Order: sequence, then C-alpha cells, then structure tokens
Amino acid sequence: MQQPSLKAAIARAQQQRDYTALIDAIPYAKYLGIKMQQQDDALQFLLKFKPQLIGNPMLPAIHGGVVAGFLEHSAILHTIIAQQSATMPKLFNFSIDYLRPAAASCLHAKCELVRQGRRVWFMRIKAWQEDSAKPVALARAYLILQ
Amino acid sequence: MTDNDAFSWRAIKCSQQHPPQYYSRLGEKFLHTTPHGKDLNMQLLSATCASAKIGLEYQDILLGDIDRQLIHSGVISSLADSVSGLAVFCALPQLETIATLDLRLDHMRPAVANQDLIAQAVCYRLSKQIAFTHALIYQQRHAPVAVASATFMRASSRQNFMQQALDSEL
Repeated sequence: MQQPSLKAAIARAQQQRDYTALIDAIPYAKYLGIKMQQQDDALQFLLKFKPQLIGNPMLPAIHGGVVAGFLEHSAILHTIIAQQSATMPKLFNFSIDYLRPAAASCLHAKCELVRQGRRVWFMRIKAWQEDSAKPVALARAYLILQ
Repeated sequence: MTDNDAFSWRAIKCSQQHPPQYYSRLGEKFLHTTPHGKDLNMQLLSATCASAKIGLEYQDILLGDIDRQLIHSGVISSLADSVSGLAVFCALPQLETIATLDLRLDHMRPAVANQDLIAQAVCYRLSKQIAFTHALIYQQRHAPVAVASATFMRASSRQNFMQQALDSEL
C-alpha cells in the first residue's frame, strides 16, 4: 500500500481547497481533531472538544499544551495555505499567553500574518470560545519557509 | 563559580521538605488525573523538590510530517506544559491550584519518529504569587529538541484536583 504523502495533500489543499485530506495527512492534527474552514476570505480553525483534551478535570479545562499545540498547528496550516508551495514550514519559536481557562467546549482560532519575510514569517494567533472579544489565549509564532 | 554557571537553571531549595515518595506519588497522580497526559501515555521518570522529568513513548499519532517522519511541535508544547506544571507542584510547600500564564518554546531541532521524548523541568523561582520554570525536551541528552520557559499563577482556584486525588487514596 502506498503511504499518503504530505506533499501531495498540501498540493491538493491549495488547488481544490480540500482541507480535510490535508489534516488527515498530519497524524497529530487528526488526533487532536483540528478542523479548518474558509470564512469570508479568512481561514478559521476549529478544535472540537473531547474528554481526552482535558488538563484540569476539576474546572474542567482543556490542557494548556493542547491549546498551544492547536495554535501552533493553526499557524502552520495558515502558512501552508498562504505560501502556495507544497512544503511544510518549520515553526521554530512559539509563545503563548493564557488569558482565561479554556472551558470544555469548542475552541476557535484565527491567524494574522504580521510580517511576511522572504525566509521567515511572523504570525499572531488568537483563540476564543463563545465570544471572540474574550480570547482564551493569544500566541505568536515564527516560521521558516523551506 | 564558572562563567557557565550563570546559564544553568537551578531548582529552588524547598523550605518544607517532603519525603521522597511524596514527589513520586504526586507525579504519578498528576499524570493520571490529567486526561490528556493519560491519553498520550506520559510516564513519570522522576520527581523531586522543584524538579520533574517525564517521558513520552513514541507512537505514530505524534507525527506532524509523515514525509520526513518528524514529530509535531504541538506534542512538545504539551510535554513542556505538563512537566513545567509538575515542577511547580513539586516546589509548593502544600498543594494549591496553579494556572499557566505563559509558555514560550524554542524548537531547536525537529524530534524524529521512533524515538521516545524526555522532558525535564525545574522551578527556579517561587514567589508569593508566581512560579517561574525552565524546561528542556530531548531525545538525545546532548542534542535538545526544545527549551521552554513558563510562568504560573499560584492559588488560581481554591479547589485542587490533585489534593482530591491524593485524599481519595487515603
């Protein structure tokens, strides 16, 4: 059986806007359950809640590492779609501020490409739940294009 | 003191010493009461005053790049958050709830498939309100995959799930 290739999935996502195949080609994104949609010209990311994502069972709140991983991945996907080349960018620096606990429900994320250099891109990422005016976390990421 | 000492991160000396088994029990409980840690199968390697080490066995779901067989950077964040949080729990005189305020990661080299990940963290400053941590994530000790620094807010809520888990054991 031929292994599905990430490169092929990236190319397909860019041409046909078929983002499901792209997520399916990234095992950890599939495990977390990340979804991606185009909403009036802007890409939006979605993490559906499931009990395995909980970090603090008392609140309950989604694990901080999961929120970070989701936002890192949003930045990577956003870059893949925006850069129009079938390669995986390398995220080398990431920083996240947790503003509120992420409750046991859907997480949304949106990226803002702040600086688009020739080799390095700088991005800001925002995560929220019910109300986009009340962000759960704000993050920033540096990615190298290859 | 050599010049290099300025760059090493040392765990604080705990004012109230707990017996060694307290830390290992705390570490085990921490990993088992956290559904996400349990789901990824994080394992406690060691825990002592203000420092902790956990391992994550390689599995295919951790991959981020199947073409080049590299582990997803998000996995490293999860490990960094967990091990840093545990180091803070190990630094506290008594259990209290903590909340991650911020986490910063430098991904120095990619983590590769078929090798386990190890994460170790120290709490190098514990103030009344805030705990500061530094963590190292690696597959080979001499070639770190990432370094992370984080801050945590102390006593973020009155109820502590860890305390309940420990109490229910007695």
